[in-house]
Amino acid sequence: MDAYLTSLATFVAINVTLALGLNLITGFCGQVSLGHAAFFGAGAYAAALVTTGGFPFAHGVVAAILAAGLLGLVVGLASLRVREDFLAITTMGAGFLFLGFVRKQDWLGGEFGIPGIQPPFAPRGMAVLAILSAVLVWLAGVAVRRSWMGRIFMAIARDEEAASSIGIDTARFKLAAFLLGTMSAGLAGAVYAHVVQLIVPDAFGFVQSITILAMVVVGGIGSNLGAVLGAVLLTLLPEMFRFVDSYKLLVYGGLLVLVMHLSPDGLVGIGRRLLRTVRR
Amino acid sequence: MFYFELLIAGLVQGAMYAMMALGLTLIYGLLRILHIAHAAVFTLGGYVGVLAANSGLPLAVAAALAVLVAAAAGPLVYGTVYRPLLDKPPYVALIASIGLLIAMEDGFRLLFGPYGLSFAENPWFVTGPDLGGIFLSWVQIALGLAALAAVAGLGLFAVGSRTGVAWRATVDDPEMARSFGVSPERVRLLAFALASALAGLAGFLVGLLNNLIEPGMGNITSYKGLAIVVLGGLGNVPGTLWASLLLGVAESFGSVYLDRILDRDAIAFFILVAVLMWRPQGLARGR
Amino acid sequence: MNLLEIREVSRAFGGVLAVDRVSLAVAPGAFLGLIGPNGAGKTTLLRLTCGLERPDAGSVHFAGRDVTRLPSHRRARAGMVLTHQVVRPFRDLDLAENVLLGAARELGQNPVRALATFAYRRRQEEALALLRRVGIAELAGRTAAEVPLGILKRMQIARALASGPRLLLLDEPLAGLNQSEARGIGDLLTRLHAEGLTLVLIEHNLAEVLRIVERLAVLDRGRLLAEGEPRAVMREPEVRRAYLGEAA
Repeated sequence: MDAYLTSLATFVAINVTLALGLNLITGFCGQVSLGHAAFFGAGAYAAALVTTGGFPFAHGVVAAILAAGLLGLVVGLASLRVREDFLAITTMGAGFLFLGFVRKQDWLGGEFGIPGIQPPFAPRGMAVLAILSAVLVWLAGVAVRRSWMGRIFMAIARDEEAASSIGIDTARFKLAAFLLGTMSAGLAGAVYAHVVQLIVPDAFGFVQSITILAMVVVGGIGSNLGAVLGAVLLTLLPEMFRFVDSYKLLVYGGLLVLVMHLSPDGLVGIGRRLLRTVRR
Repeated sequence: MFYFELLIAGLVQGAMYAMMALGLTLIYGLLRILHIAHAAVFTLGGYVGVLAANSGLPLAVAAALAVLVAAAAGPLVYGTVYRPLLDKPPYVALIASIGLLIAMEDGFRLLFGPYGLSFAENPWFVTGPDLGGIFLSWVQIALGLAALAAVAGLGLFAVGSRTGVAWRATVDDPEMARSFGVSPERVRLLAFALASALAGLAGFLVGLLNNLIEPGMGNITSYKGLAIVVLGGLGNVPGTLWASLLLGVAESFGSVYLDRILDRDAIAFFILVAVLMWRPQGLARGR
Repeated sequence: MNLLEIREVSRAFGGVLAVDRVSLAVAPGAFLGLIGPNGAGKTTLLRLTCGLERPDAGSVHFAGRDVTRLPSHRRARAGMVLTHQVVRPFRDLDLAENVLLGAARELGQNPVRALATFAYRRRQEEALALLRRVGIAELAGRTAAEVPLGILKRMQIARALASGPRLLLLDEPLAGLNQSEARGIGDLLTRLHAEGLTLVLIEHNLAEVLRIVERLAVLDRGRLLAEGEPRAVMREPEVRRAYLGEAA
């Protein structure tokens, strides 16, 4: 039971990190990204390569963050070129490209991935590490929101042309959003790789990207708290429905549709509305 | 000869993509919705078709049933899932669409089992005319013809008929269209019906081609369909057809020659990203 | 030296020539009105001037510098700011914050700096001062979604003034306003002009334009028909034909 809870906490923390990072890109800055799992994967692979090559875990983490950030910068630059409508599809395409490339590379393990990744700590320690990462990214998210960066992100998300015409360099800020968001995904990837000890390409596909986006949206897009809530809920949900395990995807899918209909601004939106009626 | 076979296989694949992509471009053009759940309608057509055929009905009837059920399912999805969300930000409809797809896919799995169904009798699968050394199954020919007919039909519809003109009007200027007595709502329902009919037929034909209908069969095709929508230009019927065929052929050759570098499925997205970097507005002629 | 020079600028959209070899010079401290029938190319010309569109031919010079290749946010930084025809405030933000974003200046250029900057008290005072300058200080705390169009237009002008521009381009600032609201904005613009700001505006509200501007330029079908003292320009036969011909 104890081991189960530790493992659960670890995965919740990893998902929270991912959701918070995506929220920076999509929630704060309004750039819909359907390829977030690719950066997660880039981080995981980079860290795995480093540590299975004999280097210390800390080096792996740095490599993961750099690799994911670099990929994020490339995708970010690509996103600058395309119109809003196409951004979602472009990021989706980037995700598939990454996966398609990785699957074919023997030095990355191809279809079978990279096995034998040695965790630097015992499971409890890894859980602590995951939680610390989540806290770190959460702090970054709060800093962004409270600072002028958050204000400018919001302006860009609302109306990019208006933002540009009042002197904001929207390109730089969108890139900054991608960089911050993808670096945190890289961090999550490093932790993940050392928890599961075997990484395969399938873990970083479109379905995973969508799942992370769903966490952000169900929790409440543009809200750090929302990202946390969404990640917690959607990670725990399949576990809570253990007894209807065979129906879990049906429920999960149905839940997404339901939440979008009842409260598109997510759980945080429901919370806010409740608070307002209570105050009256 | 080898190249020719690759070409034919690619064109057939492209025809299948076209049938999905045409529907997607219709819907995206009208509503700016990435109808990811289109994959579910594709799969639905496959299931209806195989069940009908296996219960003794002739293949043509099974095909017709697949199309009809799919055509009914489409507007139903629009009405229950999308319409209430039209005034919300685009990611809301996107997530709902994803949720629907996940739910329907699991629904198919629960109803019909995870391993899929096959046709009890599939004469079209193995037989076909021998065209001077090139062997083509009837299914492949049917796919090609169906796609061509769909494109021609859609093209005539868009340009010729009153409803078609109305459709184009609701894309450019819904208010104007309404003031001319055209109901955007009816146009949308019709679009969903048409798109879904095409998807259902495609699902049936692909099921025949591979002799397998399984819950997740529509997914990757739907995603590629979205890429094709961008490449071909929004609401651009001939553009989408060209992009689909191009993609089918590119995949066919690419999976042989790029085998060391890229997964087959990634080829579509490689082309997508490359084209968008060169021409951010897609392959459509400037708009 | 002229503050703004547009030289032989042309732009076509899909085969239609929206702006056809237009040349204009605006001296510092001038107040120019740009009028013309619908579709004359006025908005396109303004967008070309401030950098939201690139000309197919010709060049734009600001304070002696060729800015044709410069993107719009850099031109804004150099002192040329545009207010759009349709007011686009950030709806859920209050008026003061809307203005503040206009004051972002170096923060809007530098993400690292933006991330490190939290305090906005001082900036808030700046914003209030700007709102006072346009006469709506008491509404500073209302969100943009809550206030009427006339107020939004004033906020839009305050926002444009935040970066301390030398040249203010206004695309139909009076559109959608009633008689008295339009007059109010007209008076505001006159006041700003008296304070030394150079103004170029596009307008359909002829009465108000003739009341406030110093110089008038007329565009029709992408070409510059006439330019000069307002009343003299209105008397020119080509101008009368362009307007009356359209009305008929």
